[in-house]
Parts: sequence; C-alpha cells; structure tokens
Amino acid sequence: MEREFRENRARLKLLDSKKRHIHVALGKAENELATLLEYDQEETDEETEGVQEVGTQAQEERLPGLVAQLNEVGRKRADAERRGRGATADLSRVSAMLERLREEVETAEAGLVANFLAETEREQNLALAKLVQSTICPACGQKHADLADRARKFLRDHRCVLCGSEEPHEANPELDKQRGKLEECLREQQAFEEVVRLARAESEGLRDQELDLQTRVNEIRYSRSVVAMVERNLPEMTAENLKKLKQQLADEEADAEAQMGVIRAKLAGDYEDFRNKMDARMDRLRAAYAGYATAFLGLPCELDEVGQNGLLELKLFVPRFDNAVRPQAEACSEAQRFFLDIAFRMALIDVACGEQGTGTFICETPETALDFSYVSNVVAMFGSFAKKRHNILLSANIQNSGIAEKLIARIAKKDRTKHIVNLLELGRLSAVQQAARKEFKKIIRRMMTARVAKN
Amino acid sequence: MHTGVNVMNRMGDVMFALGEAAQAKVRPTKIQLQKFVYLTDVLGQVVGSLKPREGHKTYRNGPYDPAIQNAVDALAFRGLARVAGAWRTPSGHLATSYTLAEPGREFLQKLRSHSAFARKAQMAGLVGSALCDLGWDRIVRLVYAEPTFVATRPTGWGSRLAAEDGLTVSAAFMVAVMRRVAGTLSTEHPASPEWITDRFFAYLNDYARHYGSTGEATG
Repeated sequence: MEREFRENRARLKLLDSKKRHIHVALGKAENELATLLEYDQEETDEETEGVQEVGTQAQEERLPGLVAQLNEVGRKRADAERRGRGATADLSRVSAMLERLREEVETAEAGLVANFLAETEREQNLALAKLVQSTICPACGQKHADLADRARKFLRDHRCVLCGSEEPHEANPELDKQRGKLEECLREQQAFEEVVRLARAESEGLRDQELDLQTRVNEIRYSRSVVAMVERNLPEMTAENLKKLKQQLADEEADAEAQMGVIRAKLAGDYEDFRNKMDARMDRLRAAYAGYATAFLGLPCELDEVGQNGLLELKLFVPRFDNAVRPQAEACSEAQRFFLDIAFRMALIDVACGEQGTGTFICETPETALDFSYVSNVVAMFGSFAKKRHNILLSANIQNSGIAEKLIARIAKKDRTKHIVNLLELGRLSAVQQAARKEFKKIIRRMMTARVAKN
Repeated sequence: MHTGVNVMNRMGDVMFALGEAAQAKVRPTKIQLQKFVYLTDVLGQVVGSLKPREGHKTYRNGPYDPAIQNAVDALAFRGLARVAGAWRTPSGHLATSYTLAEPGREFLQKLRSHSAFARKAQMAGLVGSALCDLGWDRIVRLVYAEPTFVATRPTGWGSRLAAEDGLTVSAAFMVAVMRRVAGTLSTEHPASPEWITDRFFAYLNDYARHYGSTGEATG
C-alpha cells in the first residue's frame, strides 16, 4: 500500500513537471516564436544530440503502438471490473437465498434427528423414555409421578422432557426438495465465486500492465525537451505546421492534466483513508489510556499532545488530570510516573491487538512507590487489562495487603497455584529473607486461601 | 434459530464421528471429536452440504463449537454414547474419551439409512477413511494445517471460521482450486468427492509435516 502510494506520487511529480514544460512551450509558441530560437541554445551538446535524436526517433515510432496497447489494456481492465461487479451482485443474491435455505434445511434435519432419537429411546427403553412411560426418574431411579406428568406435558408440547426447552420436532416432507435447491444454490454460488476470483485476478494483472504501459508512454512523450523539438522543426515551419504543433502541445497538456487528475484523486482517497484509520487508532489509544489511567488515579485522566520544540514536528503524549496538562516528568509524583507509564504501555498493547487479539505485558511492579490507598486502584487497572484476555506477568514483592495479594484474590482459589511462580521456593534467598521465611509462608498461605474478591 | 437445532444436528454429527471411530477401533477424545466434525464441516461442500451457520470458532485448542460438546454430553446422559475413559492431562484438565453405546448403534443405523443424511454419512466416511490412513492421532495437527484455521488463527480466540467463503483463504477456496486443476487434467472426469478429499488430506498432511506446530493439548 505504501509502495503504491509512493509510486503514484512519483508519477504525479513527473507528470506535473512535464506538464509545466509543455505549458511554457505552448505559451511561447503562441506568443513569441523568436524566443524559441534562443532557448537552450547554449546547453545543447552537438555530439550527443545526433545519437539521442536517433534513439528518440525510434522511440517515437513505437509510441502509437504503445498508446494503442494502453487503450486496449484499459478497455480490457474496465471490462474485467464490470464482469467482477456483475458477478459480485449475483453472488450476493445467491448467498442470501442460500442462507435462507440453509436455515430451513438445518431445522428440518434437526427435527429428523430428534424423531430418530426419541424412537431409539423408546425402542431401547432408555432413561428418558422410562421417565415418560414408567414414571422412573432418570437421576435417582425411583418412581416420581409429578416429574413424569410434567415430562409428558413437555413431550406433547415438543419440548425437552426434563427442562422444557423448545425442541425441533417436525420431519419436513419437503426436505429432499429443499436439499436439492440448496445444492443447486451452492453450485451457483461456487460458479459466481469463480467468476469473481478470476475477474479480480484479471483486473489486478491488467491494472499493473496499464500502469507499466502508461509509464512507458510518458517516458517517450516526455523524453526530450519540448523546446528542442520546436527548435528542430522551426526552419521548415509554416503557419499550418505551427498550428499543428500548437494543437499537439495542447493535447499533450490536456492528457497530462487528465492523468494527473486520476492520480491526484487516488492519492487524495488513499491519504484520506490513511488519516481516518490513524484518527480511529488514536481514538482507541486515548480511550484505552483513559480507562487504565483513570482506574489508577481514581480521577479522570486523559492523553494530551504537546509540541516538543525539536527538529521534527512530532508531538508528545502527556497525561492531563485535575484540569492540568503534565508536560514534564516533574509534574507527576514518582508513583504517578511509574503507573501512568504502565497505563500507556497497556493501552498501546490494546490498540496493537485490535478487537480480538491478545498480547502479553511483562512488568516489574514498582509497588514500593505506592502508598496503601492506591494499591486497590493499581489492582483494578491490571484487572481490567487481564479481563481483555491479555496475559500479564508481574513481579511482586511479598507484602502485607500488597498488589500481589489483592490481584490473587481475584482468581478462583483452585486456580491460584497455576497463576503463580513462587521465586521464594525457586531462587536463592538472602540471609535476611531466610530469617523471614516463616513470615513469608504465613502471608503466602493467607494469599492462597483468601476469599475470592469481586472483580 | 434456537440453540436446540444446533445441538440436535450436532448429535447426528457426533454419532457419525463415533461410528467412523468405532470402525477404526479408536475411542476419540472430546478434542478429537471436535476436530473430526470440523473436518467434515469444512469439506461438506464437496458432497453438496454446508456447515452449520453457527459453527466452529477459534479457541484454546483450535476450532471449537460448544454445541458439539453439549451434544456429546447429552448423548452420554441419554445412553447413546459411553464415556470410555477419563484422566487428568498434565495441565490439570479432565480429558474424556467416548465410544458408541449399543443403543447408539441403532440410532446411527437409523440416521445412515435415511436419504436426508446420505451426504453427511458419505463425508464422515471419507474423512474417517483418510484418518485411518494417516492416523487418528494426527487429527489435531491436520486441523491446524487447514487453510481457514491457518488464516483465522492469528486473529485470536472467538473468531468465526468461514470455511465456506470462497473469496478468502479458506477450505472453499482450496477446493475450488482443486476442482479447476482437476478440470484441466481431465474434462471428461470432473473431480470426485473421493479425489478432492484425498488431495485435501494430502495437502494437510504435507503442511502439518513442514510447518505444523499446534502447541495445544490433544486430550
């Protein structure tokens, strides 16, 4: 996409430059023939001019053929695109019909399965049939008249004999017919898909060919100076010739303008699309950051942008909370710096993962920077990140009522061991830690057995 | 369409899968059952049938359709399928294997003998026969090589597996290419379901051998 955008920009630049040259020459041809004679005289290299002229002449002879090819390829591309559009419309129509038939067939087949199932249960005297026929409960094996009455009522209403949920029941006599229609539709769908695939592949190939031919045509058309061409023909110029030349230049200018219009429109569209996608991505980043940062601070916090006064015009993201933009690190406390940075990283992971992707965040938790009142907020922040199915690997020190304890409390008791790597068991402990081993164990036991906290 | 329709149809699919497994003397696990039904779903178009509208999605152990497990559980409760074994996997999850109970064979016979299920029975037979050749124990790796899943897996869990969409990278696209190739090889004998299934599995097998890595449980 980016390569295509750059190539189109290069083409536009070339066309623009040539168009301006043509325009200048045209003006001069119209107004002052004599000035053409003086133009560029000094820069002409007599020795190379002859060679270039032969090459240019040969190329010019190829030009009509190339233009004819270009027109032919353009026509074929438009034709392939038209075929593709037609087949896509047919495909949509058939797909809609197929969906409807699919639903009907699925329902009818489910009805048949249910009938065979009930029939087998009756024939084999299985538990649910025994409930209906002999009033025997399928769970405890004892007679239970009320349960059986209820089951019979459900059965009459075509519902599950135990829970009363609606069940498919009717065998559809039209099923074979519907199946036949569905197969026909499926074949049609596959045929249209084939046409769409081929038309798309063909039009893409032709578009590449068209661009290549257009580039070659432009190279020949604009390979020599417009003015030099006029100079060379001047000695034999008649009023008629001059008119022809003027018309040719005007045609070339109009052609360049038309090509530029097409490329400009495509570039503008691509750029608009790019801007829209960037804006949407920035909105997602802002929303994700606001969610995490607000959870941590406990008051609304958003991303703001400030200039950096550097060589590049890049803006910096900074937090804004308490009605104040915080452009410098010193405008936030140490804990705010740590955790707002973490919030920003998690927001970036959210945006990078899109709607359904999941990412992993590995974080050294700087919990010593926090006072007690913020611990729950940090836990809420990490919790909302984990809720989006991201993985999060946190290192935490063992503390009374620390982040680790509150985070672990959000996990079901039976699953807690699966979420923890206890480095006190795996690592080499210092003498101080060795001495506090009992205390550690006590806190860890409390963490592992604490009641599940609400998320 | 209510979920009862999905689960009921999946009961039929599970019976066909258990029938094929019984022929191969295999007692499939819940994951293998999911994979078997997935393969019959994605190849169903070869015999002119379509996978359910609410079908498999990407999940922890590959393509997953909760209606299938609900169907297996219901069949086991109602006495048509039997839990053949249960054990803890190394990751601590409960793995279960299943087999047909005697009444289940009767039920399967009824399904097989009805014309409405002829295509499903044929497709299950083709997949079962391919797995007999390649080995049921390779079923997870084969599914992880299936084009629709390969293309959709990077989008994360919960993504719908549109195997029937012939305009994207999918099983349908692959089958269309096979049909075209078969047409160029012989205009008189268009690709038969057997030929396509055979080539499709050969492709899955090659892909699984060269690039396959599931990183997932098989229990």
